[in-house]
Amino acid sequence: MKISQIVDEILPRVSKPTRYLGNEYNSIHKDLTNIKTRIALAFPDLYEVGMSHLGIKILYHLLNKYDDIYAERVFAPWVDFEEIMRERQIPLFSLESRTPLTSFDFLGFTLQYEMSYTNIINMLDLADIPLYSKERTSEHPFVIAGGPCAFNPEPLAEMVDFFVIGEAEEVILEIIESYKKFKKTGKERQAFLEEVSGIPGIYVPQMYDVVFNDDGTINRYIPQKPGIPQKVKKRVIRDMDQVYYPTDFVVPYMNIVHDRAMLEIFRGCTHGCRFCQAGMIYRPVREKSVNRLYELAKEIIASTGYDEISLTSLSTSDYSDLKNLIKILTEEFETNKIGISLPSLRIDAFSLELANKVQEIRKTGLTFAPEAGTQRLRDVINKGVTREDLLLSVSKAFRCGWNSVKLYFMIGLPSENQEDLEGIASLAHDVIDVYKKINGNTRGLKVTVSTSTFVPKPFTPFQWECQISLDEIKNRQKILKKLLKNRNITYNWHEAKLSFLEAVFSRGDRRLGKVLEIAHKKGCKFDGWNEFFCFEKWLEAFKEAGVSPEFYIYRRRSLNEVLPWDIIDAGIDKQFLIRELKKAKKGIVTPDCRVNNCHACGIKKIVDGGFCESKNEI
Amino acid sequence: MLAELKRSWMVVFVKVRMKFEKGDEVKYISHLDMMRTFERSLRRAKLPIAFTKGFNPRPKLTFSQALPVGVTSSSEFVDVEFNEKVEIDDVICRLNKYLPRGFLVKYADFCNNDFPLHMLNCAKYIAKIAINKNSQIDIEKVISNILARKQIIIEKQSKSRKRLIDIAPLIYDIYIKEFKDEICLLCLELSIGQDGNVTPEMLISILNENLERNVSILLINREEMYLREGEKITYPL
Repeated sequence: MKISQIVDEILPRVSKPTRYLGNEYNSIHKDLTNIKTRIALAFPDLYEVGMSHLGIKILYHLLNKYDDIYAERVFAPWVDFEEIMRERQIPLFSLESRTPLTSFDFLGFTLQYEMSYTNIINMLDLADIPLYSKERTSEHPFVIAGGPCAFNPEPLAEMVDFFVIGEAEEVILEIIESYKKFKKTGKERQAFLEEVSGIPGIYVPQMYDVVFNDDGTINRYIPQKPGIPQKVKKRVIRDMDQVYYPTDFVVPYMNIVHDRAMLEIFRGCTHGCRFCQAGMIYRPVREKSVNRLYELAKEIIASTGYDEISLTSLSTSDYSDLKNLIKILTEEFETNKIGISLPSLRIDAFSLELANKVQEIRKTGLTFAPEAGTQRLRDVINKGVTREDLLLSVSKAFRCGWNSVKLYFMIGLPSENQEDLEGIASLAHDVIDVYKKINGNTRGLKVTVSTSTFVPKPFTPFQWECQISLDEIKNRQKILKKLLKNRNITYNWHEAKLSFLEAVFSRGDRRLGKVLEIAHKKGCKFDGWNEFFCFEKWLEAFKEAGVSPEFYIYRRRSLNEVLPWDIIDAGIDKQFLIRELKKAKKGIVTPDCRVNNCHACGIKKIVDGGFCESKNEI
Repeated sequence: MLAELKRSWMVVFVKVRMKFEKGDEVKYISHLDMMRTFERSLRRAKLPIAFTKGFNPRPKLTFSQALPVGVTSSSEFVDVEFNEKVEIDDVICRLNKYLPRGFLVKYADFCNNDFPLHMLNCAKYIAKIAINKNSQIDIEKVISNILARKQIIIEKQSKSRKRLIDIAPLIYDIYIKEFKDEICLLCLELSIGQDGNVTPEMLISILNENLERNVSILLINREEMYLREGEKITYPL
């Protein structure tokens, strides 16, 4: 029986069958006879999570512009579906044509968060694709991966055939060109891996030997052949107005996490928060023009029928002409009641006028991210926000009738102490006081405080730092729970054990592959989902693999240690990161280079001729 | 100012009732997802939908009673309000162009508020079931038995609790329409809406409880929906 028929038979028995239909409006269905290259774009989580991710949408529509390429989607099936698949021996298949993944030329995973790694392994297993790169043959697709976590590719080095570092829009087509040539030669799989290792931005882990020191740290990476790059430089799109952007997005039937049109307004961020990886690896800042955005917005709404358009970027308020953009968009969409949402607004640049404009159409919640409770610690992390900024913005918002505010903080940041924790609580209480002053009482007010735990990330000034211990995380959460007891405050915190594992994998090396394999065998999957996360199994997996998680979490690296991600060149100069770390220790802030001096982060050197928006040369 | 006022006075809301098909491709789309799909399709078709007043304006759409997930239908209804004059043919044509495959508007007409869709209380289904070829007599017996029963108590699981209901008054008719090559077309006329809901699946599981060899459902299609008052039947369009 064909997969398609079996799936039809199964669908009535699983929860949310619309996840597996693959025939949503704007989904692409091609005649397979004319297709030369097939690529499965995989998001290692549920449909509703994966369908909310912009990167996969861009690649899907970009690749499908070409007549001889067919890109299809695949997501992690939910456990009920997986159970039936295993029982009836159905291999993991693509959504659109329901083809087993083994029939594809490429299987590309996007790596958005470390805790999805076991889902990747589970999906390979479901697809009948060998877990380790070296065990695959001409019968199998090339397993590739990209996304933010690919900036430290090492934990998946033995499973992924090659990584795409940086922005994939250009390089993906170069890979396919190279593949077409390779296919004609009829050479071995290995030959193609050698070939692509020469494409800028491609990292082929098996082309490198890693030599370890006796203390477990890395001694060096040795390219196995001449011509293999010593460092893999990330790829960067130069012109955001010229680069392809889809307008005919697939419109899901079911309610997904971000169920709205996404309009990417710019990439990169120059605020330089010292804990933030995105702020470093997505440099330089590149904007789309207002005109281009206006045209795109109209086309997207016309072809999707969405009633909401979200301006996406790392920090919306940094868009240089935001006021004008919002004016144009609200004028265009007002009559059709299409809302505009502005996520990632920064409080220091928060403008009452903008929020009000958006509110005319639809009211959305307000989110602020002070990240730390005291000015001292905010200076350490270079979050240039003051208590006065926050309270002023909040009071303006309350005066305009908002009554729900979310505050995001991080606990466990380097040098955090009791005072900083108390600072989180007092900020929340200050917000309540502001509301009281304006409205006379606290009726209707909702303040949500969320804390995540600091995870040191590669390519940030804090990449050499350690995470606080599990007990300490729990202790600090307990302190906050006590301090935030108030009927207007809801306190949410991130699961400590998840942060612990994130910290291991975000800065891990190749030896962690074994841990992932064992953890998966023990049944770990959907680790980000509370109902499945089992920390004990993970601890067993570490033990059996002979790997100590503490080595990765609690060890402060020396500045001259060879780091697992040193094989990657993210365009950020290590000396810049060291300077930033030293300034952090002294509590000295580094102002935004778009309004201040260039701080020589190194990004100018990544592309010939250099381009970035820093106002002044040094 | 006066011109503004005048214009707002002149806004006429036009209500159009449409009969549409929900085919195999979209039979797993839930009622809520289908509502969203229609809203988006109307917007893609650039039809002048009217919105509700208030803080969070919603398009003015009213659907007939929800179809069970997994069941196709040749007869679903939706009332759409527009804020300017529209041509029926144009609405049908444009909407069909922008609806996902599987949805098809077959017929539409202007309507007033005399017969709101929530008054529909009866639906006719055809269930295609696989059955052992020697069981025709058995199944006929079981059906007439069910129809003769004064009371049929079943357990219904609502969101929070289980409760017992009597579905006997909610069954209008069941009969075999065709029986050929181990395939039986069963016609079921069942109550929907405010009086109570019985799904074809519920009835087929009752059949199975009374049959020696179970039948299995191949397809179910909702054929028609109407208001039934005694023997009098009124169609919504």
